[in-house]
Amino acid sequence: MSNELTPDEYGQTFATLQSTMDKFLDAARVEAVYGEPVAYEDHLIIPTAEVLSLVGFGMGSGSGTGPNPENPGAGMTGGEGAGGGGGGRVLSRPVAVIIAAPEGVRVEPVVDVTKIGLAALTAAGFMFGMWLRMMRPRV
Amino acid sequence: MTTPKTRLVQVETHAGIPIKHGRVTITPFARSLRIGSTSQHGGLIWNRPASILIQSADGEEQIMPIPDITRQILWTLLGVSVLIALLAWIFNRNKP
Repeated sequence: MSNELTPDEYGQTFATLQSTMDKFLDAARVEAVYGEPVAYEDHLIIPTAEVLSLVGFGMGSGSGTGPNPENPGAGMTGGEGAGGGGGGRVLSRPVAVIIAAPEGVRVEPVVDVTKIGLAALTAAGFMFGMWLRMMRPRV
Repeated sequence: MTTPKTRLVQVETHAGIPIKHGRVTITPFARSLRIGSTSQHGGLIWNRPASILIQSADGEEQIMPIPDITRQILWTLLGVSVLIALLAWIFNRNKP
């Protein structure tokens, strides 16, 4: 049985890779940031968000020769193989909402209270820890 | 398959498709930061709304920035924490 990848298999691998990269590059489009406008009575609401997209992948191939373990007298045998893998993540957070009304267009910011609360707690914990360390008598 | 050679770090501003509503046309703008590329086995894209251009029927144009209040508060919080920690360290240093 040969480990060699056929041109078809190589093609499929590259097609998958290309499709993944295309999806990753889609994050840079304006449409990824501005949502589909929603019409409500005479108002038009456009949601906006920031998008952070991370991706990484790797591929490798190798070949080698060695003595045949099943039949040591038969000389050298060889093999080769290739593989790849990758991963990624897309993070999104609402930033603001654009409201187009008959009286004008305005931008309403979206405040992520949970994120701010968590950051405030982390900062408070850090400062409390530092204060405790400073209060400790020196030896 | 060939991959176009790109710079490692790219900052770009893109304009979106204008949206017409009543007497105004809104053109959205987004700013993206791109680090790495396909040739570097991956990368990062940070895309965020930058501003909108509002064009009224009488030809008047207005650019409205899109503020990210959450990010501003987080950076302020980080700055205040670092400042307090630095000041505490400075005052504590001279303590016997």
